[in-house]
Amino acid sequence: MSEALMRIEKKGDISSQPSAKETPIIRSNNDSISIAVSTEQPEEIALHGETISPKGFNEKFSLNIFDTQIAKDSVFRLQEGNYIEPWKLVEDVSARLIDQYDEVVVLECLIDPEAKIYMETELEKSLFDGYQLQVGALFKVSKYSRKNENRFVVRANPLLVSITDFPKVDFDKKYDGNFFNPE
Amino acid sequence: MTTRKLQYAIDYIHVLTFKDYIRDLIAPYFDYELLEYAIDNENTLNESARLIFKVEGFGLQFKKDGVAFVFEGDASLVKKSGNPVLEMFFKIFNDITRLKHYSRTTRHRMTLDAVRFTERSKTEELLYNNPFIKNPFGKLTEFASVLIFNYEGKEVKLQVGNYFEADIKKYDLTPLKTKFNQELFGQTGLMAQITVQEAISSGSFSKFKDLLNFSESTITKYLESTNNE
Repeated sequence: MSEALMRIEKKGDISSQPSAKETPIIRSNNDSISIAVSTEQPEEIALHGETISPKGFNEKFSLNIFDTQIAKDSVFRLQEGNYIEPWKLVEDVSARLIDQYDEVVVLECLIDPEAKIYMETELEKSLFDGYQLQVGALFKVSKYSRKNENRFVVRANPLLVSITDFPKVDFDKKYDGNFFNPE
Repeated sequence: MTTRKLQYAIDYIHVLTFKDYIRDLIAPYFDYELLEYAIDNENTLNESARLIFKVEGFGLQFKKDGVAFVFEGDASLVKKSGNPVLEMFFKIFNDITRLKHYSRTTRHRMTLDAVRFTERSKTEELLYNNPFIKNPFGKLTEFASVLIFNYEGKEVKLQVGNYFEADIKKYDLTPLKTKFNQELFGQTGLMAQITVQEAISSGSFSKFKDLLNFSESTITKYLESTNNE
């Protein structure tokens, strides 16, 4: 796809030929369309009293994914020559401990932060080894997946979870057993 | 059309003390498997941070004047609330907005690249039958039409043209080299790139989703109008 290979009309100088950097532009403003060839970096385009600033269009996203370091050395890291499929993070849920009994920890999980939807869920206590199991304790529960496998990681870093995400004292729904299970 | 790469940014007034806080804000995520990171322009006014989740197809960037991410993969994964990496992105953004010297959010913007595989001859039909453009130059090896317009407060630039494998490099369509985009190689078809920006006073997942839906529907509407969808 090229921006510069078709010329329709050049503003102000219809007879001249477009240069390689000129761009044919169709401008529409709801009820009208105009066509023009502009140079690569127009300063500002005025249309029926409205203004389109090309600044944002020319601000290229320049995210470099190279020259990085590994945050955490992991046995799950995919090494060169290692053909094991890497784990993919598929769920990462903020949770508050609301109960525990026998070998089960009951959590209130924020499954939709935007809509503020919560679910109550139960996880094996062994996932919480080494953590203080107090009612109100905050956790991040991550689910990783790869072909035919799932893996859960519970993190107790309070900086990952905001207490303001848990203003409620009662719960919308009893966990039905499907949330953390593969479909 | 299938979305192949998505770039999204939220801009805000420069936070002069940004470099004093950003490491604190991203450090809690270093316990996540396979996370790669980089600090750029260390110890300067322009210090910024990058978090790369290659397996999940995300690269996140946090700067003194804005946050941004690139996502390469199935767009349906970022349309519903609960995508773990997207949640991190918005959590860190929200943490930034709570910094002492944060002033205000100014706008958000998105660039989306989409490709539809078709035979080369069908792609050329678009050129010759496109109702928006008359081509007096005959057979072309490459072409694109570009529309720039304002619509409901959004500034839009839409390019539609032919797709060749060379566009992968030209438009950096697979920066994270995901499995999802491997099928781009060896194909021909149509390609669309849309950039949309809109003034906003606060950023959120729902506003991101609205911009994504708008971007995809605008491409679809254009192609429908040319009888190519």
